[in-house]
Amino acid sequence: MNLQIRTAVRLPVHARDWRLMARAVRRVLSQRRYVGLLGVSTVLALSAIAVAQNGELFVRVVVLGRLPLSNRLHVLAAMYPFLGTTFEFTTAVSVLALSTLVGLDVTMLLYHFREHGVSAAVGASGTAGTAGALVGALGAGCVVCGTSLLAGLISLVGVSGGVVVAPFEGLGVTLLAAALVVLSLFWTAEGMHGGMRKRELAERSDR
Amino acid sequence: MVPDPRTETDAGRSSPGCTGTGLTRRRVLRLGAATVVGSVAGCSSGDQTRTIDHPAAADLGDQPRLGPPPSESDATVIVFEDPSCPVCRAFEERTVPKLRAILIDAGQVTFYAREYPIVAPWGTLGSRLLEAVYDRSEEAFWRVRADYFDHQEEIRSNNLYDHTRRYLEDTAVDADAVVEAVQGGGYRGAVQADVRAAKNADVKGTPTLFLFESGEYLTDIVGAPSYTLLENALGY
Repeated sequence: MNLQIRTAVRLPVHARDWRLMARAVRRVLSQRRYVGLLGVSTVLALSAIAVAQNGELFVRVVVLGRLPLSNRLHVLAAMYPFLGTTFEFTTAVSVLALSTLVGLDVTMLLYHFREHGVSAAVGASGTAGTAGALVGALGAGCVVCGTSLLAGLISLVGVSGGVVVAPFEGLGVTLLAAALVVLSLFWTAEGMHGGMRKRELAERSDR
Repeated sequence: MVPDPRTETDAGRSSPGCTGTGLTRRRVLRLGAATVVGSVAGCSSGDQTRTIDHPAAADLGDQPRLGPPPSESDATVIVFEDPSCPVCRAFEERTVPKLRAILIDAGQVTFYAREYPIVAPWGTLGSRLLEAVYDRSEEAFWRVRADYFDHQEEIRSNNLYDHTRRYLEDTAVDADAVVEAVQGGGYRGAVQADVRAAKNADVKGTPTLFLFESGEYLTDIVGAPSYTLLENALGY
């Protein structure tokens, strides 16, 4: 296994960085199987966010509950944006957008892994991309009331009962998560670009 | 640990002027509950003394309640809210009216409201004022609470006393007595009891609901669940 370690992590501050991301996304989604994968991973990301808000409800009532199936399915459906009221409208829209971004990030990471091999995926950009996707998804895990996440974080550092008002009623947390996922997308796109260059060079040297 | 003298002015302890006899509403409720429990001790029928064994249900007898006592209903919902929390407001506006009209008023569900002020700075003061109002009138408590949710955007710490005083002028509750009691440091203990229960129950945000079925813990719910979710989770 050829590990490539990069010491610098770049941020997408130039227009060419965004064009790189756009090209990478187009490349991935030009293949139908990855479009399908995007759909599946988006639904999984959305489900993870919805269930993460109320894991105990999901396990104790939906999965292990003794209620009739229709009750449990109604409870499960009501946990999702727009099907229930756990998410306010703007938060629901942002959660859907974030789930799509996470789904896209996961799809691109899998493309990167599959098309360019393990070494590219465990290189700095692949690892940063994976970590970014995870942090982005987890960061969105408390979008119902951003206060709870922030209050939890504050209590971790010993300031219990600290009063925190999440910006835009928790939407700020979602936006932060989205920013992290976009970073992950960029790092993955960079890694894909690097992986493609490696393959081109390898193909040339084989000729 | 030296007890905080301010907590000693909490209703139910040494606070004067609630009923003029040193008896507060809270103390009367506790004595009444103890009398009922004592009188039914030894009865072989019924579940009149059913208690809920869960950290969220600590000191439940002192808490504002809608619907029948837990021993007379099929399910109990305990909600921890902050009067300054926008998501709590959404829950109170969208879900609670339906829950009240369909399940609570029908005697099927018992609903308890507890304070967990963690959002805006005025939440803690608002919670103490609510406790002071509850100590004098349960009906006024629910109305003032609804008023706080309705006017969340306008309320601040520096206008909450005036806001509360103005609202209470249209009720039978002595607004000056409420404000003076809270300004004198009262009702910190009552709010701290709710906060302690919330922390022991691992409440991380507001609103957080705890659902019980026949006294047995069912689940917790974080956020503003729809009536449909609650109705189905409770098995209706």
